[in-house]
Amino acid sequence: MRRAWTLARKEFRDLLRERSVVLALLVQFFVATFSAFLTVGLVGLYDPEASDSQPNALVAYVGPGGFDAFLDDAPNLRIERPSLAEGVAGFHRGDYAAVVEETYANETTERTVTLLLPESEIQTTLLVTQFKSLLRDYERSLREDREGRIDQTLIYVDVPAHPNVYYAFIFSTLLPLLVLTPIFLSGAITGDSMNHEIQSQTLSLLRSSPLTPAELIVGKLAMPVLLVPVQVALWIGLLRFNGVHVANTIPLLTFATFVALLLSAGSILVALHVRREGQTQAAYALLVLALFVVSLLLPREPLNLVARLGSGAADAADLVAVLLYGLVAALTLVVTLLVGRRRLARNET
Amino acid sequence: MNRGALRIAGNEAARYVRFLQPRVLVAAALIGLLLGLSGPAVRERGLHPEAELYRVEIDPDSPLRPIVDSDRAFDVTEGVGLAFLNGRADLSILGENVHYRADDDRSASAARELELAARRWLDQALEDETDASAAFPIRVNIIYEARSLVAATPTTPTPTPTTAPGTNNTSAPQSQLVSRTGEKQLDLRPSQVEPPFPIRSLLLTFAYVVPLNFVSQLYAGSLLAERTRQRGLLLLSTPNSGAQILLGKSLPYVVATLAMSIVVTLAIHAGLVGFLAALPILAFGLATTLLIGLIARSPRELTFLLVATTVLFSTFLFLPAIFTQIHPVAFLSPVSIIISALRGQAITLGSFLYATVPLTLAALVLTGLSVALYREETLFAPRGLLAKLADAIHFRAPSRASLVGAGALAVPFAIGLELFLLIFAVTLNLRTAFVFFLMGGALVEEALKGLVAHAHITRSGRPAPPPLVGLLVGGGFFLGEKFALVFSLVGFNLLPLGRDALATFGIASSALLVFAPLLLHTVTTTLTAYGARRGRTALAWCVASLVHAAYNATVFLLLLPGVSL
Repeated sequence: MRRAWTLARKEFRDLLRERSVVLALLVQFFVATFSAFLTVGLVGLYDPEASDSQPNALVAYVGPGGFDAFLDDAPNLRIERPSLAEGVAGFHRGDYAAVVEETYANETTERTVTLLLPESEIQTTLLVTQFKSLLRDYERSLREDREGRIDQTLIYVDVPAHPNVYYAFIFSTLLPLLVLTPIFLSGAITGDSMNHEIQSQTLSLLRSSPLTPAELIVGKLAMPVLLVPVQVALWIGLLRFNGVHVANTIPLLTFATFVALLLSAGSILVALHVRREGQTQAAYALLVLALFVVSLLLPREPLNLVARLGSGAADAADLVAVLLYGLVAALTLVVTLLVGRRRLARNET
Repeated sequence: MNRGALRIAGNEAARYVRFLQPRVLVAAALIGLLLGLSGPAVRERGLHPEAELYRVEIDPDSPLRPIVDSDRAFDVTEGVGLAFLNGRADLSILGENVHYRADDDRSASAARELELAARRWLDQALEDETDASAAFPIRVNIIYEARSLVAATPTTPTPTPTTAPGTNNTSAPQSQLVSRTGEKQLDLRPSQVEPPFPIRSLLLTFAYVVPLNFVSQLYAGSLLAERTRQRGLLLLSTPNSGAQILLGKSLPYVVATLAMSIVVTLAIHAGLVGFLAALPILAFGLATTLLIGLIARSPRELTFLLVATTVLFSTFLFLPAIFTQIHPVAFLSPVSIIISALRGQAITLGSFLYATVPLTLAALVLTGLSVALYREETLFAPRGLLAKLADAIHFRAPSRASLVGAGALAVPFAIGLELFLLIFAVTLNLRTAFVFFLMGGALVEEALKGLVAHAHITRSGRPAPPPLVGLLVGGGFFLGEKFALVFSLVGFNLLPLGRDALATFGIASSALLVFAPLLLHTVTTTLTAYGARRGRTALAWCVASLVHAAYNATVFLLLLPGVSL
């Protein structure tokens, strides 16, 4: 295995020489800053009512009264009560941020609230978000007024909790992406590196060295796989720097290494079978896609496992799951070594 | 198109047909079977990375029991608070009382999630009620209408309500706003109200980009294989020109991309306008792939360059999500047009051209450079990426006069790269952002002009004297900028709001200020050209950028005296 290590060191020098590692880290850093910026939008998608940036706005209310009380209670909203025509004219002059029209026949019937809002202005998104929350409050108060007409007991849970609105997003979306991206890339570069040896016919040179096929494959795998926990650790460090504490660091890094090994070994298998460059990459991407879809059926699918580990919700079952991923990775490696030995020995390159 | 190109295209396509050997088909069938079998189950299960994220301890008789059971995010155990006290649960529910730890983010998030889950569950439970006006007492209509506040057009006359306002019909009053002609969402429950953030339509347009990536990988891989195995040499020794060979090699991928984009257009109902707006996206994607395929030295470098450009390009396409409120920036991305087409909004010719022309130009420039690289001298030389780019630029702009055009064509790239700076700058505080953007913008512009100047000085047999190179390239860049400014004015009938940030456009308020940028670009490019002649391009680039940044800062402070930094 000393010889495999020599090959791995050469791979590492290649990576540095092509500055591809640096580039990869830069790209990931870019994605991270960028996604930090997008989070506002994404969190809006995730839990629209959680974002609490509320613009000061003047709103026109037209109607017999009801919803206006809720609008009045919002500290950032001021309301005026013009006629509908004046309200719409004021809306177009830019005086009113929105026109709210309420109509209903009498106290007991359904009420209709119609909102007129400016198209494609950022404030619209924030206003709609706030209106939604106010409308739900209004709905709740009306339901409670009419409780006698409803068979179901009205259960509302009120907690004055003010959690970090990004909490669920960070652990269930951002962290899994940050862990899985380097893993995917590590498989991709392993395949590329193997493919390059085949294409430029340097594989036969390597074959004539004292390296056994197994050592050759391990040497090719080692660097891309070992770089994964380093990158993930870097991410966890960056998150901590931003005040997000990721739990279970060691199991997370172990998990990342196992899956990287799984994909890298799979990637070598692909490269040994599909000799053409672009086709290797495309086949690898397809394979990963298929594996990912199938993995979603597992009781602890990768995204969820990362989320549970990172957030600290993990229990013993999750640790067992990590070990099982390791087992699958080991099996894949064994298959790759067996296939590789046959393929490389037959000099099918 | 001639027969040589067609024959090469046929050969290229045949590679994939040959590739479809029995074992490949078997493998493909296996993957297909796997996906087909697991597909329905996966769809039913859905993607729930947040599953069992929160541990809840609940007493068996609690009325909240069905609520926690209805939400996958909860990992539920029965108990009366012991696990919570020991820190093994994030929430404890006793009867109707919910206990959580306010100082613990996970516990507080769990409480918040419970609040949301309760509302969802109640909405669901109320579905069966007979008295709908008690269970769902509110109906919501939302109408989005464009306001033209920026353009100094007279206020839109308000259409008088069609129903006579005097008649006080007490039976069932109808909303009068509903009759307006905006984009409408009618008859919603409060829970169904969604903010108009266009992220869903945005994600939909990625239907174009993801298949493009697959084609790109095959395309670039094939180009690289041609070079590493030197087969391209054989092709070049045939009577076909480099351009014909490239055309032939690219044709199958272009056809595949077109076919795929037609399918996508039909699938997402983007219509003809959406399809036309998608074309520059695909053209630019293929052009970058082509260039990368011709300059990358190894498969690994190829993968990284492809991944990097894909990410950057996707970011560019994502701009509308970030700068929703600044149309002149958002509409630099053709995706804005596709989104408008998807939402059935009217698109003016001006904004369509504004969104598509710069990207198309950039794609054409990259393609031109790639064709210039397809020569024996440059195709197989194991040289650096920048050296190859310089070769290609000089091949395209060999004469002194053509340097003007090269300078002008650098402008679309400058605008694109400065947008990335803008994205970064927005996350910083104002003062840092200002300095960052001034310096970054100067570095980008000087790099692009410097690359052209460097290519001329180092590659030309009889290079022009540096001041002349500076005048030609700098002047070309200046013309390009002014053209872009006029173009955006025409496209929007207004001064672009993002102009202050996009210093590229320069500020034309007096004759001196019109020509000051020309002087600036000439001087800085001259500096780089002198540096290139002495083999110190990088150093000269830094000096030129500092001069440029100092100029930008002066202009900003002179024109915006109110800004104190």
